[in-house]
Order: sequence, then C-alpha cells, then structure tokens
Amino acid sequence: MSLGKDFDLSQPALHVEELSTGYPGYRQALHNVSFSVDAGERVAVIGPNGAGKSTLFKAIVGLLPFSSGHISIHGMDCHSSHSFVGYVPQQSEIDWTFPVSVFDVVMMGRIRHIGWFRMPGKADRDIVNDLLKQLSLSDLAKRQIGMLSGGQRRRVFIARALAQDARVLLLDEPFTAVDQVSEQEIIEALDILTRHGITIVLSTHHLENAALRSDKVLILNKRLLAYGLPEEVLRGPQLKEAFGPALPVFTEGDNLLLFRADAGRK
Amino acid sequence: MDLASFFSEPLSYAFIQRGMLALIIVGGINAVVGCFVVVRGMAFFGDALSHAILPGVALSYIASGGNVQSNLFVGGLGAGVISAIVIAWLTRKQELKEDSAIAIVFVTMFALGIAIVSTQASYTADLTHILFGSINGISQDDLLTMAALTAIVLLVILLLFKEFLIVSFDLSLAHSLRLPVQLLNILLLVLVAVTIVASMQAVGIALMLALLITPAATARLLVDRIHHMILIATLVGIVSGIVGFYASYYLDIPSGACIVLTLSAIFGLVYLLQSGWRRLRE
Repeated sequence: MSLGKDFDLSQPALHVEELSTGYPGYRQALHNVSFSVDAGERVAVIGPNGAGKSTLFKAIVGLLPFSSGHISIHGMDCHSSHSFVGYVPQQSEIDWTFPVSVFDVVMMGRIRHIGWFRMPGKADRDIVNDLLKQLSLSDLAKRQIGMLSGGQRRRVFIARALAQDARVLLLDEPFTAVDQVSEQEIIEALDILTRHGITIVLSTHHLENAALRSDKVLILNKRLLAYGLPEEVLRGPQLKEAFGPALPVFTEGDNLLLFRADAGRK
Repeated sequence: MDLASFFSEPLSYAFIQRGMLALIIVGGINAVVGCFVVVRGMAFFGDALSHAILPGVALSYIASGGNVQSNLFVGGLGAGVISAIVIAWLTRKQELKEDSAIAIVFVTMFALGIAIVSTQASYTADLTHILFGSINGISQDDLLTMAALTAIVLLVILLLFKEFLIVSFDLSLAHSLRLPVQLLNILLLVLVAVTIVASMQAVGIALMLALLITPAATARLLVDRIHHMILIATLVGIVSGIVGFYASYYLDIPSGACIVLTLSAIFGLVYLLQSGWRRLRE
C-alpha cells in the first residue's frame, strides 16, 4: 500500500496542538497539551497515575474522541492517517487467553495492506516471518500469546506495529511488570524500531529508563509541565510538581539523584 | 435389527430425512458462529437474542393463520436484528453496562412475545413448538431457507474473517487502523441473530444457547488457535446433531433435548480427559 499523498516526511512525525479531552472543567483528563516530535526521535512521557498518559495515547490513536485541539502525523490529520500509528496497549487491556498465535497477531498488522475480502498472501506471510526473525520470535510463531513472557508479549506487539508499517509507535507502559531480562529485550526491540527510522513515544514510571534511553522527556499531569532533553527536564521542581511528595527526589549540588518509582518494593 | 437398518430405518421417510439434514446444518452453523460468541464472551448476549426473537416469530405465526410450518424466519429475523441494534445503541455510551442493556431488551422482547402468542386459542401447543422446536415439521421450503441463511452467514464470515478477528481481539488496533468498528460489531451481532433464526425451528428458542456455546467451548479446550477451534467445533456440532437425531428417534425424546445432552456429554468427556491428561503430565 502506498502512503497517502498528504503524508509528508519533512513535517514533524507527531504534532499535538492545544489538545483537550473530556468535558471542559469536568473530568478533564488533558488540558491544552501541545508538543511536537521529530521523525525518528524517542520520547518518554512520564507522570503519576491518572496524569492522562493513556488518554493522550488513545487520543492520538483515535480510540478516544477529543473535545478540542488538533493532532497530525507527518502533516496528516490523525483521523485520516490510518495505519501510520502503531499502538502497544497496556498489558491489562489485552485478553491473553484469546485463541490466536504469535504469527496471527503479527499478521493482524497487515490487514490494511491485504485489503477487504482477501486472505493474506505469500508476500504477507514472508513479511511476518521476517519480522518474527528480526525480533527473535521465530521459535514462538505458533505459540498461543498467553504462553509468553512479558518481554516476548511486548515484542509481538512491536512486530505487529512494524508489519503495519507504522511510522509512529506509541507504547503504553512497556516496562511495567517485566523483569530485568525482559526489560533489556524490549529496549533492544525499540532500538530495532529506531534503526527503521520509526518515531517512538512511550509512557513509563521508570525515570531511569526515561533519562537514559530517550531523546526527549515529556512530563505530564493533566497538562504539559515540561518537555525537552532529559537533562533539562528531569529536575527537582518539575518532578515535584508532577509527582508531588510521593517521588523521592534528592539533589546533590547540581546533580539530581532519582530513585526508581518502584524502589523499595519487593 | 442389524447395524445398517439401525441407521437407515429412521431415514425411510422424507420428512425425517429433512429433520436430519436440518440438524446437521444447524449444528454446523451454530458451531462456527459460536466460536466468535465464545471468544468474545458474549454467551449472555446469545441467550438473550435467542429469546428476543419470540415476538417476531409470534407475529409471523399469527399472520400466517397459526401455521407452524409457514415462514417464521422473516419475523424472527426482524425481531433479532432490531434487538441487536437496540442493544448496541443503548450501550454506545458507557452509562449503561452492556449486560444490563441486554437483560432489559431480552426480557422486554420475550414478554412481548408471550403476550402476542397468548392471544391465540392454541396458546400452549404453539408456545411449546416455538420454545422446544419440532424437527418433524420442517418442510422442503424451510430446509431451503435454512440452507440459504447458513450459506450467507458462512460467506460473510469467510470474507470478513480477519476483520472480525481484529475487532474481537484488539479494539485499539481496529481503531488505529480505522476499521469501521461499530459496523463490524453490529454485523457480527446480526450474524448471530440470523444463525439463531435459522436454528429456531429445529431446536427451539429455549435450548439454542447450547448449540451456540458448547461446541465452541469444547473446541477451545482442545486447541488454542481460532482457525482450528472453528473446525473442531463444527465437527462436534454436526456429530451431536446426528447422534441427537438417532437418540431422539429411538428413545422418543424431543430432538432439541437429545442434541443438547449429547453436546454436554462430549464437553464433559473432553473436560475430564483433558484435566486427567494435564495431571498426568505434571
């Protein structure tokens, strides 16, 4: 499938302008959020629970209507930019008992390329098999998706976004409830996406990853509190404003000492 | 009596042959559609819809002058589709939970159906036919209608299989790919309604749910890919239709009850064997 003619790679990969969701003043999840992400960048969205991170992603994907504002993907209005945005939902939003294999889920990404009333052809199967190989999932192709580790599950959905030819990938809490090994696997998968020139926006509680693995960090709590390079944004005042006293932040001279949000548990 | 005549004897009458064919069609189509009902967790919706077709069936029945053999499909289909759309419409915003909306539409339609049937003098006999089915009363035309409805349902599922799979598994993907999610969901509900109406005469409203759910649930125990699930469910549905038919003939028990008991026996057996097998492996 060819990219739409309005699709312009010189435009920002993702442009969000004065986005508000929910009813004005009442249950407003997001208020007047504006930011822009360049093609190939990796952005971490951080903020406390209920800050509207998932809402932001769902608005971009088209899962949630928004009350005002504008979202464009490479210069195209998000309502007509189908399949350019991939979305990896939170684990809890997927029915892992559903009777589909890893191969089936990745093939779902091809649906718009296959077209209506048609079955996947050899070309589609080749693409899916190649992606499974790239993400080291070939051995698991026939496995039911519930029989996977947390890291493998994320990689299946990342492979699906690649199958879809998404130019922008949104990942909702990819590092939540995964062990260290899985975390490393997910980071490697994200590096593959970056090599493909895909723009990545992910939400995380994990400030360490946000700081180390992202080009930019966006701090969100109903409204946009800060957006920029990690070393500029991840500072005491902004973090305190976003997270309140719940976040342990210490400064030592000019250096900011962060503690992982999940530190001290276990 | 030898084995050959055991199987062939009941088939010596044309009306019984038609009954047998009807049960095979009904067993197969319910199994296929039932797989989607089961993986989407819509068992309650299936039950509700099978009862909600009653007023439409009753109206067709009265319009045709109290004749069970006549074409009840049109009324049943109308009531089924209206119910499916009203449920989808009531739940389009999240104020009303889906199961509540289903329950309200279901009981309203069923009560309306009983009210309509009760205006007839032959009330009890009529209601029994509609609730429990009567395979001996299936005419050539009825059988053709059932086959045509089944063919349409299977064709639509074949053509839109990958789209139905996505709206059933991952709504966020469906939305991000800009699939017509609402339309596909309603279409799937309409397919369930058509299946129920096609099966109504053979098994009746009261036991419909078993045909829709049990073969698919049995298959889910055995395999974990929906393609395979559909094949096995179809096999279970058709075999139960045939076994139920013979049991009904020789034991003189209503066919609907025989099929459902066969289905449940197969499910029970598979469940026990499977948990036994799992324990053995551990």
